[in-house]
Amino acid sequence: MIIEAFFSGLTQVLSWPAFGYLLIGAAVGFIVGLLPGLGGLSTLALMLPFVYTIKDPISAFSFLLGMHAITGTTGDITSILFGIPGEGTAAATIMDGYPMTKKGEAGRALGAALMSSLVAGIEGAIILAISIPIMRPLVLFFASPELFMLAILGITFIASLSGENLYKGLLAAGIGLMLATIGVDPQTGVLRYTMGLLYLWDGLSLIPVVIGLFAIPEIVDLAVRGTSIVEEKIEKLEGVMEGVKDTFRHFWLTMRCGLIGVFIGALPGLGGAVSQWLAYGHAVQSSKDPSRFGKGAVEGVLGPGAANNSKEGGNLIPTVGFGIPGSASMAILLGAFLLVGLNPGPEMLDQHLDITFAMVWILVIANIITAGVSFLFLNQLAKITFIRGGLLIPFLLMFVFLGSFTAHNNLTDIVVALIFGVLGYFMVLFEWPRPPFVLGLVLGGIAENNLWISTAAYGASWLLQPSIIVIFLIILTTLGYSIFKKRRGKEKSLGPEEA
Amino acid sequence: MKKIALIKAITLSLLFFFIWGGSIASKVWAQSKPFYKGKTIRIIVGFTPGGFYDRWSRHMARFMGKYIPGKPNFVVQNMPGAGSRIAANYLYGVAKPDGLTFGTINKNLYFDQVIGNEQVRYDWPKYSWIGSPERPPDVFYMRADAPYKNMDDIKNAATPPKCGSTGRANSGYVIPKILEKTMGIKFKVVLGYKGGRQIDLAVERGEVICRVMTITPHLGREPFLTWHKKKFDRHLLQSGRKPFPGAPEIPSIFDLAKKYKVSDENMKFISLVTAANEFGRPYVGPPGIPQDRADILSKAFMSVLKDPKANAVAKKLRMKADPVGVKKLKTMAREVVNSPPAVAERFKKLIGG
Repeated sequence: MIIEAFFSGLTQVLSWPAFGYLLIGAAVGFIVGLLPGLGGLSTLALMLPFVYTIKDPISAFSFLLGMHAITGTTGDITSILFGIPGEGTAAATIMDGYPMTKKGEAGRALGAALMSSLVAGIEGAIILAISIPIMRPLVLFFASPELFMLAILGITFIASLSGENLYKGLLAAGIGLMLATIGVDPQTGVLRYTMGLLYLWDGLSLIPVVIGLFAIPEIVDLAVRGTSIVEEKIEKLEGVMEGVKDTFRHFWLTMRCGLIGVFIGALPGLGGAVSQWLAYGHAVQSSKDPSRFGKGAVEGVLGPGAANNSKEGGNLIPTVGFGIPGSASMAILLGAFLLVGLNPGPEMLDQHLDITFAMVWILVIANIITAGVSFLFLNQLAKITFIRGGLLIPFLLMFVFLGSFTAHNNLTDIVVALIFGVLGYFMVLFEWPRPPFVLGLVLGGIAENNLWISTAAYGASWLLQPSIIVIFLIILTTLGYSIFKKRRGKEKSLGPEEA
Repeated sequence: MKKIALIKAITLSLLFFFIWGGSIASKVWAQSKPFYKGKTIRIIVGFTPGGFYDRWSRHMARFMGKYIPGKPNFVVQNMPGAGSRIAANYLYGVAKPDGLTFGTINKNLYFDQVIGNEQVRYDWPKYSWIGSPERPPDVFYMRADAPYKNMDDIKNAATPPKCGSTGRANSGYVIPKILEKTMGIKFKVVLGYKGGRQIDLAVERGEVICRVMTITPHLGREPFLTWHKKKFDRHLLQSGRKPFPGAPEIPSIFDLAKKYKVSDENMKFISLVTAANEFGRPYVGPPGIPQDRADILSKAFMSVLKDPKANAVAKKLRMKADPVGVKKLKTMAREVVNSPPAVAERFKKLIGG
């Protein structure tokens, strides 16, 4: 029955008019993802009314899910070309994608981001398909203590993301953790560091912070240099195909980061940004030479690129299996389920299994189409980076402001972006690593909340749960391994001098 | 000469006639042209897309136009933040009272005014009230395998049950706490969950065993439909004054209060908290919208809720119209902010504001 539903899903997606809707959805998603300022979330809400007129569920999902699957992929393009995240969740791609662009490797970075997105998107879809029978225990396994430990595991990545100066990295992460405490404390209702501003009640929003931190210093740099984004004059652009090959050269890294995306995506409440940064952290940590990262290492593009897309498959796990949306976008998609007369939840795994598989296929096909279309003109797109900075800067600034504004549709978003732009500029100037700061900000709130919940719900007994002990051992191993690697790296670099 | 003077006089009088006549005509034309013709009305939503506040707003944006003379366009603008307080302040003090902007904010924002929160810049009764599409009460649900079958069991239990909530200014915390303060039924409320759905998952895991939430989604969507089929949870209480039509067997908090013979002051305390349900999902505009325009908006709002076609779409989206009119909303708004100081003081202590 499962096999039958699997192929029935495919034929339904490829039949008319569903396939037509998929193409329209993919086209809209492409543009929305590309333009900072048009968020995937608000676009889904805007497009939902179109579903009123689409009666067939497969067509409706082809349109909405096709669109949604693409926004993440194309969001990486602006991150790589201009250092401005097209989507809030596409920020980690900047870390190595933009330095690659500066080196004249924009085509290669774009190729790597798109191909890893495609591979991991398919991986996410396959995992979604495989995990259908074990969805419930999988999601239920991760209670608050496990989420707390996962956040701590993520925080240990700071050691590898700190680059050459561990102390600066730790301090940056500390500041990030501290800023994560801004907002209403859910335990006591006390307002922490809100400075009399309602805006800060919910804490700092990641989008304007990340845009400010990464994009503004680069724009200032571009203005000061007075050249194009590509720093050095080069004979020929490194091609998109090179990036495609990179994906397969680092195939297992792509797969592992894809897995991180699916996993984090399947746990409601962690958010898309977490998966991308953790994937980036993993790429750095598992590399033989972490010092290349931040300077244009292609693995730094492959990791986040993969996680960004595979998380969609992960997000669908609780959405379809429980009727509990894995993300804000999935909450809107739930509305679409109802409009077409479906009830997300167990019946999607039983009487409507073909539709669930159709959703898997939509993710796969939409990703293949986007990658195919993108490859046709990526090399042309990469040429934008040769345009003189003076001409590009007004557009880039517009992207920065529009992109920040999407966080709350509030002017304060832009002020936040500017403040963090200044901070980012000084961090670059004094060689403070920015990824640990973002990781601290992203994981701080998750760690704090889940620690409180765990203690309130279980007392101290959660510390002795077997799953907690296992994650704790993983944390120790990760830390031990990265310290060992650093020491060995130092010894190696000292070696020739001593000789 | 005389001829020229005559021509001049005729020309001047003609000119005067056209200018004067023209201005009169344009005035008459303007009066006959509806104000809303060619205009765009903004509906501000104090929350992100995805929830019921957003869903109702987009529903209104779709259907309200045809009930307004001039058939204006509608746009929905999400302005999330601080539990919709940013939108509430915006609607009260920044948006122009020209009848082209109104929006929806959290039903319990009057709590802030009662406890004297300095960061709110609104006076709850002074908003231009437009209406409310529904007024579902809250339901108190608990896992069926828990050793508490009803509120009496919880009152007599040695260890209180653990319920989940996102924060303190939320019915998930406030309702258990008023049960504790007024009737001595104790709970341990675990705070800090990111959203309601996370609490539902925590209940499935057994991390907590109870939660207070709006009754309509609880009776109408997953995971609850499966829960109810499997008899996974029990409904111990609902916060409305009357039995809820979809589940009349659930006891009301007011019946329970009568059973435990709570004092008058405690009764006022309970009323103050549960009044939030009566506001439903309030739609308000800036104070001072010209009365004729406010009337047009609220009339159109109510018409959508009676429109069979609109209601059919609403039903698909699991929304059921149970409107509250402007008059009732205004009366309630005045009542809640004029609570006796002693009640307000207790309330302030309760939510730690």
